[in-house]
Amino acid sequence: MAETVTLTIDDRQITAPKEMVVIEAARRAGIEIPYYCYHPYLSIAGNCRMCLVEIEKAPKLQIACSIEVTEGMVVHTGSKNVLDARAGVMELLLINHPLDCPICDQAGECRLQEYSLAHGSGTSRFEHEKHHGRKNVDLGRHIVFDEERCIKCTRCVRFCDEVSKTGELALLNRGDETIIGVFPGHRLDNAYSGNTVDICPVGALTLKEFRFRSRVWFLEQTPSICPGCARGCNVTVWAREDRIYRFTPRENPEVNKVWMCDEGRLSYLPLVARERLLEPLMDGEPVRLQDAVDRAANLLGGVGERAPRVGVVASPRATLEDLALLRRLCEATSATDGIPRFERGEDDDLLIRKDKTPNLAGARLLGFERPAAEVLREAAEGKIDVLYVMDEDLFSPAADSDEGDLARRAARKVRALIVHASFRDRVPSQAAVVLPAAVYGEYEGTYINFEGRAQRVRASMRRAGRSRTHLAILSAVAQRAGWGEWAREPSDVWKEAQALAAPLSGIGYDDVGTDGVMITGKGESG
Amino acid sequence: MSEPILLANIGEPDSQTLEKYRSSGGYEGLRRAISDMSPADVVEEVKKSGLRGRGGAGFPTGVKWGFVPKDSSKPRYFICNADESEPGTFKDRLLMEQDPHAVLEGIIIGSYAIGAREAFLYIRGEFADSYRAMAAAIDEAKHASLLGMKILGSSYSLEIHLFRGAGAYICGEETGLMESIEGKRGHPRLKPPFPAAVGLFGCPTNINNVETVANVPLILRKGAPWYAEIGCERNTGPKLYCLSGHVKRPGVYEAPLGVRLHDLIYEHAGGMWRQGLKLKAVIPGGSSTPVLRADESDIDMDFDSVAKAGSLLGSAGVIVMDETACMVDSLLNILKFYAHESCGQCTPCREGCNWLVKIVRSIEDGKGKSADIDLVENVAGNIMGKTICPLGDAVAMPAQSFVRKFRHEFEEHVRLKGCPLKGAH
Amino acid sequence: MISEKTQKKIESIASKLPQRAAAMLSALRLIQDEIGHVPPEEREWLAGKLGVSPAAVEAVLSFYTLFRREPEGKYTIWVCSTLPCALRGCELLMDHLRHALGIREGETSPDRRITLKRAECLGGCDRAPVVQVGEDYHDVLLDLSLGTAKVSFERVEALLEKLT
Ligand SMILES: Cc1cc2nc3c(=O)[nH]c(=O)nc-3n(C[C@H](O)[C@H](O)[C@H](O)COP(=O)(O)O)c2cc1C
Ligand code: SF4
Ligand code: SF4
Ligand code: FES
Repeated sequence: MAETVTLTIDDRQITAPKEMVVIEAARRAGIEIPYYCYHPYLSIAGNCRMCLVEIEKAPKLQIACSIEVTEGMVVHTGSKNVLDARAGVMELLLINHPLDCPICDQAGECRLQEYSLAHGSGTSRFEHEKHHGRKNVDLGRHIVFDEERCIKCTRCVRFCDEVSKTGELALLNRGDETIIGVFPGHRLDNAYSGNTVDICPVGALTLKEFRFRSRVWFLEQTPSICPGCARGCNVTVWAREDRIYRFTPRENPEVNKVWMCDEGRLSYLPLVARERLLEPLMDGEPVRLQDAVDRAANLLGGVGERAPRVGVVASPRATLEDLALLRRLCEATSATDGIPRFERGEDDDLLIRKDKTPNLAGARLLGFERPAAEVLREAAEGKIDVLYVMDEDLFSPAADSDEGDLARRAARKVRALIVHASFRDRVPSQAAVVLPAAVYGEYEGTYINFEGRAQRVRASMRRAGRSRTHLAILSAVAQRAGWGEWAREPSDVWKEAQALAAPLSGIGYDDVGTDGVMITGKGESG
Repeated sequence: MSEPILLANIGEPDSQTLEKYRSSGGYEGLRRAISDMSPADVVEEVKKSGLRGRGGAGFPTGVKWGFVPKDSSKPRYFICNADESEPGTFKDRLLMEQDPHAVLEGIIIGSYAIGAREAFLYIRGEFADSYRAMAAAIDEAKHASLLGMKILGSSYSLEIHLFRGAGAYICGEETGLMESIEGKRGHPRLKPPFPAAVGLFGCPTNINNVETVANVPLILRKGAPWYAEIGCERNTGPKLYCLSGHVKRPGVYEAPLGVRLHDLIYEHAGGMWRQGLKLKAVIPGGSSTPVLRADESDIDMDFDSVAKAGSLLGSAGVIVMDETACMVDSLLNILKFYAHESCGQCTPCREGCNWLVKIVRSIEDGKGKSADIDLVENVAGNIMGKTICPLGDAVAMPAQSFVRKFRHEFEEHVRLKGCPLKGAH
Repeated sequence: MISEKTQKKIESIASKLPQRAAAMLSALRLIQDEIGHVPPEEREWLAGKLGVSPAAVEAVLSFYTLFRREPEGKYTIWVCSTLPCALRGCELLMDHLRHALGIREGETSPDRRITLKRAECLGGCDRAPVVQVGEDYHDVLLDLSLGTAKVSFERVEALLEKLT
């Protein structure tokens, strides 16, 4: 335990760790000191001056974002001096601001708007021509910049210097001509550029993919996990009417702090862009779900001589619970199994993992270790009768591994191919049965990231068409095949997973919570 | 007028050469410090002299040296601040151009006192002559074993890096200057931490003004008691005063601290530049210090007396204004300077300076309302004490003092819808 | 690109300092002395040389008034216009230079000989109104013999004539 000090903020005794800044100590005690430039995961700039507070014995007001707590310190955050100073800073921040909130994309998330209501004087004494700046500057692949709205807090600059370490942004010029910019001809194109939008306290930096799509207050927020790679960055999913509008990172000091990569941030886009498979198919023709499940059960079923040789290809994008039931299916059919890899690029020093799936560690825990290629090769060689594939992207022509090729050869060779598919575009024409699977955002469950942290992915929309979760599909098949009544609620399936994977024992489904929990014993629970 | 001490060499032919400097006792202070005294003794001696920093704030130099930790594992640095950019100030330039060895000797002694192995001299970018003179002095000193490895045969070695600024007043602020040396924009840093703990390159650093260091050799050569006799209580030593504006002979004049301001104006600088015109106002310490009306200006020019009179000795840049000077226009000029020189990082200064310029310009142009006069004071109040560095105060103090002391002129501008003195030059 | 000699000089400065980036201002000055301004190519080169991002060079270059991002005239005349010089008639001097050169503040004469700029306090208030051309200060451009500030046309002309 770190050394602590006791101080008084607004007549309340507070204990805080030594070296903590006053603004944090206050926040922990539920006292909000307004700020713009401060950011807990960036260096202290102290330039906005919004957080000025009165500290007894100090000759003038001090900024709460940089002053560290000391024993016996007495802080006032609401004295007349403080309120006047705050109103003064607000006024100065607004004199050159366009005040275009009605057309600003940041409306609802803008600290300037929020604070000017709370701390401003309401009227402007500034009667001169405002500074004019460039609007809609195309700063990078994903980022648009509005010079006039920028308050020069330098959060974005510090992010690029300290977090992404790419250094594209800088303050240029001087005095009231100071502006954020890039080197002539360069762009803000790093793998994490979207974070600058999140941390910009005003509407100066906006994300091309989200601008003007929706007012934030129309969107529902769900805490979830990014499915983009094995890091499993914690995110908030913003959705409305069964459509995801954006991902934003959600704080988890153990996983992603408050950041996420651009690719993950935009990983919901294909969900919107690709054409969904809304109904089951048999031999390429739409059928009733019941018929498709029956057929699948029939193909898998049979005992003794008539038992088919079954091969199962699991998916590291499915949840731990999905995979637990799939494991049971493997057991029921004495199937041979494998798991594909979806890898691209390299791991970096910040968040990005080359494993582009969120749950490979979970799959491994349930015994899905063999490379999918081995199963597919057996199938292509005629050693498998029925191939059960959980993720149609296995057949993706885009996959540059030889797995895609093998998978297509296997599809042609086997007697019957059963596929869980969410989109139409990659379903092989040979499939005997295609079961429409729910996509990310439509299901709940658990992912385990590469460090062994179990994290909860949550649904934020209703399933499209007649699609079903993997759990529902698998338990329906099991029932028709006569393997018994399988659980289909994630929390119930969790117990089955526990039975299959010893490291899960002692951890309840709800223990995973919003911050996740380490299951390999290495880390602490969140 | 007393005999010059600091400027004793100046005006002599070859005053900038080592030979000339040595002939009048130059580098004797260094010899004494290095061969007879420990660094702690030197600090003590300077403390006893009562020398206060000449860079503006008047902080006791020996005390400041004492703040530099002795036991740090990091290198310690000594910086000499030669950025001299406060409007109305031009004394450091004179010292560097004409008596560079005095500056150099001071830097070497100071570095020895704080245990620095490397020193930095940051010269304002426009001062080419100063740069050349200091570079030549450094060369001479190296050859004479006064600088470099094993100074005067002792175990003490020092290297001096000459730095040139590139046009930014704010680099005179000590932490802005450090950022500038580090190759960055001259953005002043948050304090704490203070430079004595975390300064240049993150190491313990001491910084002093050129004139401050030029006093040090005298103290070491002639002793603290001798030095402390000059000037007045708590304000010891000789001082350079820069007179500019409406005086007959603008220039740098030396006098003991505590000299009468009117002596400086009427005797040293020869009085008003145009016969028959009366003194209207004086800015005593560079343009950032509060202005004094003529009737409050016959004061003693030392740190404490000027403060008591409601202004500051600052850099002792005395700007004199006669009756033809328009106080609104003069304030506008000052505000434009600070707006131009604001580094732009903190809100009150970046936004406030220019707002002040806009308000005062509209008054000067005859478009002001009487509410604007109060607004000037009020906006200045929203800057004062609320910024990262004292440049915010440097703009707020003149704004508030001009309005308070010459309110009638501002009102007249509003009433007459223009400047009654326009074109009076 | 700058000469090899200048490149070497920059390297030698950088290698002697506690941190390479501390050579920034010196290097920009050397580049500008050679080329007349600091073009983008040299900025990127310098960024690599000192181990900082190109944006960091840009940030510095745009902060200091003595650095030029664009070419200027062969000579830049800086007319100090801060209070001590203003009290002694710098505006008259500025007017005169504008007329004599036929350009406005910030502009360069058509023959690209002279750029006229307004400076903040040059620290030459004893010589007010002072102008700086290149490295040198020039004073007493006003004729004070009549007891009022008056531009000495001869002195200004003499100065301009030297700038060839
Ligand atoms: C805006 C600003 C500009 C300054 N400019 C200078 C300067 O040009 N020269 C200087 O010596 N000190 C200047 N100072 C003061 C320095 O920060 C520092 O206090 C001084 O160099 C300390 O030296 P001293 O202790 O010898 O006085 C300035 C301060 C501020 C706030
Ligand atoms: S763009 Fe946004 S984050 Fe960056 S400095 Fe401006 S206001 Fe701050
Ligand atoms: S007060 Fe002005 S000069 Fe000082 S840090 Fe703030 S913006 Fe920069
Ligand atoms: S939050 Fe403290 S100064 Fe900006």
